[in-house]
Amino acid sequence: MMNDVLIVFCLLSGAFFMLVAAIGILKLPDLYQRLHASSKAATLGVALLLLGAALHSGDMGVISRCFIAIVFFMLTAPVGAHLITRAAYKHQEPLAKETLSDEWAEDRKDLKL
Amino acid sequence: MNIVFILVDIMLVVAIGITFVRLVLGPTMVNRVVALDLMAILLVGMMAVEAVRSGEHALLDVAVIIGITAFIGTAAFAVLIDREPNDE
Repeated sequence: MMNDVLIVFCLLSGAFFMLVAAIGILKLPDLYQRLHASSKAATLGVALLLLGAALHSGDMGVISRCFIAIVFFMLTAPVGAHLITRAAYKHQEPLAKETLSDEWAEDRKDLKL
Repeated sequence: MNIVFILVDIMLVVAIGITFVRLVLGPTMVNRVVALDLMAILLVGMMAVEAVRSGEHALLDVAVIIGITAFIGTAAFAVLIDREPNDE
C-alpha cells in the first residue's frame, strides 16, 4: 500500500516535470534558457520515472539497472548541454533581449573555445 | 492505478507534442538539436511508465540504450556544428 503510494507519487511528479521541461522549451526566449529547461527539468523527470519503475519491480537486477540509468542521465545531460551551448555561442546564436551581461560580445567571432 | 497511467501518458504525450512544435519552429539548427534531445528523453520516460504498467522490465534496457544513442547523437551534432566555418 505504502509502496503503491510512492510509485504513484514518483510517476505523477516525473511526468509533471517532463511537461514543465517541454513547456519551457517552447516558451523561453533564447537557446540558452531553453537548454536550462531541457537539461534540468527533463533529467529530474526521467530520474523520478525510473525511480518509480525501480520501486515497482522489487527485483535487485531491475533496481540496479534503473540506478545505473539514473546515474547515466545525470552524467550526460550537463555534458551534452555544455557541448551544444559552446557550439551555439561560437556560431553567433542570438541572446535574449533581456540579457544583462555578455562579456565576450566583442571578440565572440574569433573565440577559441 | 489505471487513472494514474492514463494521466501520466496524457502528460507525456502533450509534452512530446509541445516539443515537436519547437522542432518545427526552431529558428536555427541548434534549437532543433535541443528539441530532438528532449524528445528522446521524453521517450525514455514513456518507456519507463510502460515498463511499470505491463510489468515487462526488459523495456528498461531498451530505454537505457535509447538514452545512450540520444547522447551520442547530441554530441555528434554539437561537434558537427562546432566544426562548421564561421562565416558572418
